[in-house]
Amino acid sequence: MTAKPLTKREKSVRRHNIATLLAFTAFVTLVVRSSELVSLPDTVNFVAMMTLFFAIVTMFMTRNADEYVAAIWRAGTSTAFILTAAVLIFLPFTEGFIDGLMGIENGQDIDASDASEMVIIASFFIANAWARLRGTA
Amino acid sequence: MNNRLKVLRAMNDWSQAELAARLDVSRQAVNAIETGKHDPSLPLAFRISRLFNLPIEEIFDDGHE
Repeated sequence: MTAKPLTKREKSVRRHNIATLLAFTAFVTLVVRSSELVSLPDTVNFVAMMTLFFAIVTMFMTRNADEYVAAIWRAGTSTAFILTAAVLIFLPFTEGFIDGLMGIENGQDIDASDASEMVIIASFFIANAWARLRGTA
Repeated sequence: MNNRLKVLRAMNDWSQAELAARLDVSRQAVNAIETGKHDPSLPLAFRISRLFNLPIEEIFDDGHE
């Protein structure tokens, strides 16, 4: 029995799925390293950053490989967008509100732009996985 | 949305990969439609309708009378 050669569309979908898996693995590696739970060398950080970058570029290039892949991509990006907007707008507001309520006058402790980097990628992967498991409908 | 895609595919003795090739989508897309995880776009619904030579409403059921 010989396997049929993959169509151009199937190859593109496969590239997208592999890139998603690689990007997720690289992201988890970066989170683990930044949390300092495990001591990882700088090389691992560099490799993970490069993998994440090229995997995201590949995902972007193949986002319209298929209408199902496009639907999953949209689920991830729209969630990432709304959560990023919420963090950038409401995180400083919430911190200021709580500080005002408690009478704390030490300025801004939480930098929303720093927090948003993690939120963008984490929310993308959560929504992406949710769409794959629970559906895009 | 419920659909009869899996039944129609079985009646034609096609694999998911064969149906995907006929519809010009990926196997994952066929699987997602069959399991109700993805509603096909209107152009794809028309392609499915033409492939099985059935009206769209005989393949897909949106639950409304």
